[in-house]
Amino acid sequence: MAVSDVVVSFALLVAIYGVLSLGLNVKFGHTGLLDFGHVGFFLVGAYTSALFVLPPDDPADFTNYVIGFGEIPLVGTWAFGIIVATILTGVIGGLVALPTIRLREDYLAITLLGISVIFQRVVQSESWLANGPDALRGYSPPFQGLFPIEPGTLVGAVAFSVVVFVVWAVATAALSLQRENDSRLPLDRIYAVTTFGLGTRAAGVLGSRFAVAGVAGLIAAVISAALLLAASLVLLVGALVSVYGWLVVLVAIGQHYADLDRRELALGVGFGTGLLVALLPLPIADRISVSIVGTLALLGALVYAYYHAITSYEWVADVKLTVVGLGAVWFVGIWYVLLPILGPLGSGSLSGVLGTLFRNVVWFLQFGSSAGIGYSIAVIGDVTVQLDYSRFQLALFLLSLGALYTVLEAAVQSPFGRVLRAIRNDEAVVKSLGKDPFVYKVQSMVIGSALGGFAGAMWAMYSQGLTFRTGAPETTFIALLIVFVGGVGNNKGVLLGAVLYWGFQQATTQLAGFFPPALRVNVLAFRLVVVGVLFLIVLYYMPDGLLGREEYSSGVGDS
Amino acid sequence: MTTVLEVEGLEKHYGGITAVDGATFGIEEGSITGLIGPNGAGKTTTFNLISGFEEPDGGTVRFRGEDLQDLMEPSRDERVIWGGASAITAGTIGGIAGVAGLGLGTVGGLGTLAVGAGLGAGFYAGQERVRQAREGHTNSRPYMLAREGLVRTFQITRELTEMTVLENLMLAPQGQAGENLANTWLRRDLMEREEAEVREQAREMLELLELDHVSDERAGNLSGGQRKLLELGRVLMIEPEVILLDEPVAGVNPSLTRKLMDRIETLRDEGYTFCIVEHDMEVIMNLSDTIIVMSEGDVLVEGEPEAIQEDEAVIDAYLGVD
Ligand SMILES: Nc1ncnc2c1ncn2[C@@H]1O[C@H](COP(=O)(O)OP(=O)(O)OP(=O)(O)O)[C@@H](O)[C@H]1O
Ligand SMILES: [Mg+2]
Repeated sequence: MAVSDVVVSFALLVAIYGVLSLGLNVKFGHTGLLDFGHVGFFLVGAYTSALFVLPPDDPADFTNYVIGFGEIPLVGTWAFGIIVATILTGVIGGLVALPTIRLREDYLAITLLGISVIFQRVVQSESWLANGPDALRGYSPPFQGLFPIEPGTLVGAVAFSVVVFVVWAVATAALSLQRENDSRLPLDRIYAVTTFGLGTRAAGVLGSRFAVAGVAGLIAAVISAALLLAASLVLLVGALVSVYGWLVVLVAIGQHYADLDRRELALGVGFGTGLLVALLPLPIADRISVSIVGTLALLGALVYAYYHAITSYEWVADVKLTVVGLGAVWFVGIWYVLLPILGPLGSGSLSGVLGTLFRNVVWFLQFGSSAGIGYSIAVIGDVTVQLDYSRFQLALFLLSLGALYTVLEAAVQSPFGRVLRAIRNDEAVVKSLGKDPFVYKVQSMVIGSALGGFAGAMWAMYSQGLTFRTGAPETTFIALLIVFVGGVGNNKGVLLGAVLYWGFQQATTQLAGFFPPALRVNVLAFRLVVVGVLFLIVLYYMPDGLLGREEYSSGVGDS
Repeated sequence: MTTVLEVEGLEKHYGGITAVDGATFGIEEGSITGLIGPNGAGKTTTFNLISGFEEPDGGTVRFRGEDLQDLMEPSRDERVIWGGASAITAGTIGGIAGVAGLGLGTVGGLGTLAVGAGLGAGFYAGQERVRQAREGHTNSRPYMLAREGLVRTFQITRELTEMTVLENLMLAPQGQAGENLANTWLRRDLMEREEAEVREQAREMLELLELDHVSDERAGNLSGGQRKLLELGRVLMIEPEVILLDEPVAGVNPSLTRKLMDRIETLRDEGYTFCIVEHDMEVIMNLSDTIIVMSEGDVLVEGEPEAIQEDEAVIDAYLGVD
């Protein structure tokens, strides 16, 4: 698997858990309703949407389930299933809220945990409902049949252009934000090109930079669809879109760390390199005991050095998070670019090096599978490319996450959100000011649970098979961890938390690959302990999370 | 002048303690009434009962001639939520029972679902009727009274510590369009226009209270006296009719106290009604049109400030001799 595929599957999980945790953040972060049973809605949402798209149950086989609308047009589609799942979980969230919401915070949490366990038990033991304790399979995620795409066909071109649209629009929106605070790079000119000349002038007509980005994405999508239909230029379009994505990411990183002076930069790079060095014994040492002890010792030394630096030097303490962030960027960069080419470099094959590099740079496409279009490139040699379904799914998920985030932000950046935060602070005040906390808490439960249900439907698409373990209480606590790490009551922080959590998971999965198979399971199980310890550290040193509670400009723009 | 608030035989017991013991008094519209008495006389408890934060064990309170208990019946939103929930629950049970239990098809199932939903909603409406008809039933929905224009402040200040001072005030105004979830999505323009007005109003209030320099500070960082001011500003933002103030100037510096007294008098002249609990005799005697003295849960005397200061019983129980 190419490194870019790892990143894509990571992004899919971030999107799912992002939505799930945003839902929990509405309840807990904004309103103060601690819902330990949030996963219950995730479970119901996942099963509901899956049951809608499954074909009718065949009494002759060994699986049993209800509903099965898959063959009814419109009703049996994913779109319909997701809408039903979202509304249903919202309604259930509201109903569950009614008898429980008057309870004090901790009692509320325990009661909701109990309710989610009941949901899980019902799915597990009622074998007629959704195949009981066995997995529910037999459905495929939306539009998967179109992949791998056929370049000459209209359907293939449209599917391809959907992905182009999302990537292009997101990148353009990001670029338009970066353009404003960077004068060193010719971002204005690039922006003018990638918006197809719409640039700044169109912002007035179209309303906002996001509208401009959307229109630019649309144009890019149409152009790429045409290129695909007429000339099968899959690789060219893929490479262009990939490079554009890289440009925006690199500029963003550069801008984020623009004001660093040299010693901070050195410290960050040193930290990242130190992390890399600490992990070196794993692939190098032959004996597993040596590699583990070596790595742990080096990691311990790194953590101690960091701790020593932030406690003894004031200027380091001021940039303690920057150093870690910069180190992580440096580390990920090396992992993505340098490590994959080490193998071919060792065997001295230039075409191998360039080929690997090329595949990872053109992250938009998948290389080397049996199906696909063959190209012959100078030096690199022959490659087969195709647009993988995972890229398409990523586009769908990012679109959902972006839309839900926007809708949710609109809801909480308002007097409505202000009442929610006031309830979290002190209900008696809210009552004394003529507002009924009960009504707002119910609404908060409905929105939060509906988001949980939506995330469940995304999970059903992603995992392509469900078991009652989908509703295991761990999931709630992962979502809670994400909320705490990023910042309670801070939607942007929740997204950051999801990225960090899944970054950790992916990294440890990769590391576990260095262990012999017998040990691997233990390593993967042990990381739960590590997550727990990290959680405690975050809670102790940063009770408000990395981004902290959001400063609300009391609703809408202060002007 | 009309009596806007009539309290009759009010009672409240906590276990063995009788906090309020048959207090009876009236508050005139457009006046300032001082409520004084020794510590533990039951003044704060009386406020809690009048503002709906606690349910009385006996007696009645009338606000503009209407019984408080009637004013505090469930709001429309609350009835919709409970009625809807009953209908959904009973409808679901009906539908499942129709399809799985009685073996009816889709149409029959929809029929039993509708019947179930109707029964559920009907059951909720019926039990509400029965509850309201019961003699002496009590409610505790202070927000309903605040909506009617009867508000109070807390003796031990309660501010939204994690929100800014400005946000604390902006929360107060009634009927903001943006408090409705649908409007936050569909009527963004209306919401933003209103929000600008509310912000302007809040800034004026902060200026009056001399809190403008801390407007973006978290309320939890305010000093004790500043909290009192915020508490006062918050209820004034509601633009209510009757305002119950529980020791509004305890811990506020003298010059600002005078300024606030002037402000309260101006508001009184504009038609607002105040009932103020205060231990600072100079303030309360200068400010009040009428004084009510409470002792051991009951009203000891009621009268003009001059007469109260001469009253033997009051001097014995509360004022003491100089
Ligand atoms: N929640 C409660 N539980 C038990 N007893 C209470 C409660 N609230 C008040 N009391 C009792 O009721 C009596 C009246 O208290 P209240 O707070 O009304 O006095 P107050 O007149 O406001 O006094 P102060 O001037 O000190 O504020 C006191 O004896 C108090 O102990
Ligand atoms: Mg008191």
